[in-house]
Amino acid sequence: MVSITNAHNELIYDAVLDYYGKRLATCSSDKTIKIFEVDGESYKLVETLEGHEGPVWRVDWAHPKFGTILASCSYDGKVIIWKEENGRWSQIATHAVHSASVNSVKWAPHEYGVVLLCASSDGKVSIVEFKENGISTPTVIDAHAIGVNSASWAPATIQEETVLSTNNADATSSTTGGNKSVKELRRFVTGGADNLVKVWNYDETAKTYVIEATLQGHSDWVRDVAWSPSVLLRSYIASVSQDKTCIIWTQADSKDPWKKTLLQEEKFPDVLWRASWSLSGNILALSGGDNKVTLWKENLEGSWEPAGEVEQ
Amino acid sequence: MTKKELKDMLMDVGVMDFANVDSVSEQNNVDEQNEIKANSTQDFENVDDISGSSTSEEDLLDEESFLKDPSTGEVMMKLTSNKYLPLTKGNPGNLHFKMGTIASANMAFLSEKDNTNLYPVSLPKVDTSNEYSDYVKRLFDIYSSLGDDRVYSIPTIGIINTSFEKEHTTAVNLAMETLITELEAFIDLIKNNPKMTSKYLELEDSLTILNCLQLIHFTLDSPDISDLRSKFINGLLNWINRSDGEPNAAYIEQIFNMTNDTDKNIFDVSLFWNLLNQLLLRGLFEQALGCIERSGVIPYLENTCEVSSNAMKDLVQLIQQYPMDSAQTFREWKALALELGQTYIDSETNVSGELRDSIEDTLLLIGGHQNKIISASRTWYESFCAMFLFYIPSLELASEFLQLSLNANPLDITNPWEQSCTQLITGDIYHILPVLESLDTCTASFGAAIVEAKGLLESYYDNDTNTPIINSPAKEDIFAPTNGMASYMLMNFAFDLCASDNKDFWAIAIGLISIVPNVKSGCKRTTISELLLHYPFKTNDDIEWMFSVCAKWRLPEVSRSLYTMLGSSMMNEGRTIEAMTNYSKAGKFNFVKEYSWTLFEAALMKGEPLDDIMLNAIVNDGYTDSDGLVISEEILQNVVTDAMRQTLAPYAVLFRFFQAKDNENWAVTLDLLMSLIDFQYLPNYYLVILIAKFLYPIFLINDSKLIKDEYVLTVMKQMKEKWDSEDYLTKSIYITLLEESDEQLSNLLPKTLKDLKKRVNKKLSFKLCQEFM
Repeated sequence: MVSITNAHNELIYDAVLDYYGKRLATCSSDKTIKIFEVDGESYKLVETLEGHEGPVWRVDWAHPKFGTILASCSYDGKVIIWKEENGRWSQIATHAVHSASVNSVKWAPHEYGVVLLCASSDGKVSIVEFKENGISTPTVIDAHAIGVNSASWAPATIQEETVLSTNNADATSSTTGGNKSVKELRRFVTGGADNLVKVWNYDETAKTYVIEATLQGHSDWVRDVAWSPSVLLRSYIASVSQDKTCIIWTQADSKDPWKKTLLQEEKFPDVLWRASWSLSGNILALSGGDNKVTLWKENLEGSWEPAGEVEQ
Repeated sequence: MTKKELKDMLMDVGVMDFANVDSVSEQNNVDEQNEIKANSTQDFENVDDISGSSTSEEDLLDEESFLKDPSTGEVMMKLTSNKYLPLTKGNPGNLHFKMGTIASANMAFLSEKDNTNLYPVSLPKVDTSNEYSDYVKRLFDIYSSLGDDRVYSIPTIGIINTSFEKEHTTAVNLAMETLITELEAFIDLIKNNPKMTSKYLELEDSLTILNCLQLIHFTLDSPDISDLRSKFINGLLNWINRSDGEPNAAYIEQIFNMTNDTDKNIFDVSLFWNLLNQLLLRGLFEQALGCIERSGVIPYLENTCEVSSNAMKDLVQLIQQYPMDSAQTFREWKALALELGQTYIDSETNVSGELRDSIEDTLLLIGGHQNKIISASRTWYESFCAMFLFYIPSLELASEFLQLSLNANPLDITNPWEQSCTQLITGDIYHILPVLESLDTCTASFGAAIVEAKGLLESYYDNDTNTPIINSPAKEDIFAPTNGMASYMLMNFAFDLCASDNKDFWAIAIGLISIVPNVKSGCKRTTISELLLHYPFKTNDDIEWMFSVCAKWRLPEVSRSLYTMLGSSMMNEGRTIEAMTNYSKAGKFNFVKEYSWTLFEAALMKGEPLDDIMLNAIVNDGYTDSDGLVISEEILQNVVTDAMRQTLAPYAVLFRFFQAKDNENWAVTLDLLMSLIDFQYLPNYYLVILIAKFLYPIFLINDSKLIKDEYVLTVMKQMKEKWDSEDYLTKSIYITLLEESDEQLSNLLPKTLKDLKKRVNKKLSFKLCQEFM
């Protein structure tokens, strides 16, 4: 194994590989973002991006079909969109609707277009779409009063709905006369300093995101939330917290209630900082204050068991 | 060395390693910090290849990237070489880990002031070796070639269906046999690799479970009845003896050396008879005969006791003639063995009581005496094996034999395979699958699939009809429990394969998803369409493969996404034309239009055609250099789409305009320029450039060049409609033109668009007058 030494001058806050694992973006309290090119086991620094006026918390790569685009968020309350063209990086947009630190940025599933979800300490999340002719008006919603620590998109899914025809409108008990319609189900999850996890979905009528469920289970700050990326499984959300627990929230169908399962009954030895899923959504990785990374997999009986551990 | 010894040794080494890692790591952390301080100005492009500078001690510690936790047995992976360990055990910290889209590319880092290193890590249990890749391919081939036999269908009454059932049984039994052969071959390949010791042991355990599975469920129902007993007995002996490799050669040697320094004969020691009995219980007849010969017991008895000597000679003969293949011969053999034992019991002998008892016990053991068999056995599986060899070789009694054996020798729960084998014997197949899966996902998934094909996993029942629903129509959800455990495992395994960046694995994964039974086709399509976008394509062959999958599964949306991704990737590499081709195929006509105008603008500002062979060949119907035709019409046909032909038309006109201008063919030059100026979709700001850069300096300034009145009127009309001197983009592009123009043109053009417009209008009026006059 090869390590990359002295990647930044100060604390590193995020390190994200792109879709193909060929580029690595890192960010730090030195206010910069570094781009590395990955070739097998070698990592070559190709660019240092400067533009933020505070520590940069998170970075996220857009889907490759939109080109080489990176989003970064910072303590300075801004989100910057960077683009590489012909080997040259430039800022293509700045999104500054938040009044406090922006703690998380996440690109939406590519099916929705170039859409970004931002979570901030001002208690709000914003959803902004980048169009060819500039930025559309962002949607800003109050999410967690004390501050939003993390947000994560659900994979793109569709929902089947039965629409009653007019001549059958009074047949409320029967849906057999209705037509099936298919609609896109845009959802995301947020985790906040109010110890809550909230699930949001897009309301076509209201033209905004509305709360679908408030999930209570943590007794301290929710540090990270991660929605399993595969549409092939039922919905899984992992939330990790300052209270040293990880909760798996599951939903069999988008209309069912969310079910809560503690990943393990006993508490972890220390705070859990991060949760992330594998591409296929069948492996969950947790990292935390005990300096361990534990991998988890749902076994054939449906309970969660360790699938490995990263330690010294 | 037996497997058990190897396991014990490995565990000891594991514990030692961790102890060493602790102490070494502390020292190395200090060393590392000193080194980092010393190199604080060093460019961080420096990437430390730890393996290159390891000492032999470090090599030992680094021998395996993954170790087992000695207390939990869980796989643990080291973040990097022990030389650069980032973590201090027991101290709280800020470790962050982010999973990548492929199993080999994940990132870990500590959010701490004195550590700004990044640690790329692979997931444990992900084998990317060529040997493993070949193994996965072979198992896939075995399963794939089962064809319709991948699905078990409940046979109905009738001659045709009976023969169908026979053929099905033959096919799945053969598939299991071949799977086991492949597993044995794979084990042979890795067993001497010190880095694969742990994997080797896990595979050996898998093999033991599969050997038992084959013996109990895939042997006696084979339609080729002739050699069933032989198959069964050989399978039984192979399973038992490969499971633990006992008794090992060193132990045998130790027994024979026991009496070296004494007056005693080896056959006077009970351990010798225990060893002989153990060999007989396990059907290791050649070894048993070798022990008898080496002990010298027969020559000794020839001189001391004729009865015992004859009994031993008869024993040797019986062992030599043990009938491996015929049930009838076995019955005759057993009658002889019983007679021999009884005769000896009834006879007077001249040997010590102890020796006589030992001979008697051995004779009774081969006669199938249950108590003797059980008391001579050290493990439940030795007595279980001996019951089949010497008592009654019938599977119907297997559960009874097992119970008797377990009563005397309980199973060792630290051996993963022992419990699974007892479950297999009692017909409980479901519970062995999680164990197999924990040992090796590939073997487990294909093994489970063959077991399901055999019809051994039908336990999902319809509540109403109480009938198995495994054969009912396929389900929507690929992970629905009703799809069956084997389908679930195969799908999971396919997902695991897709998490690697090994392209061979991808082909197998897609193949697996295609053939997995009990899952609806629509569901498979969704799965493939989601996964395919992550395929790590590099070459044209890879791209062709992706599109062939899209074509086979009719995934036009995925094709469009793939073409868009290819377009973006090529655009980043500066391959604009190929990017446009892909964007066209993706239906991204806006992109095609946008990039066509970008090319137009670049040439317009440059004042000459772009230095792009492909582009110029497109607008010139092929490209010829001094050596002949370089880009043929045929190649162009493949590259140029209808959308590109349309959107590149303005560039083509501009290209011909440049050619005419270079040839000083002014009439044609003007015609071409006018067709651009009059083009209704020409963006407004390009009108300004066309006039400022070409019309004004070439045709308007020079009073001797006449312009037809209709052209003058066209220009005036277009200027009236499109010229906006205050437009931001128009102003920007005009400023760029002034900055990039040669001295002659920049002196000629005024600083502002307003002034330019006035001058052009004035000149146009003049030209109009000139034409009338």
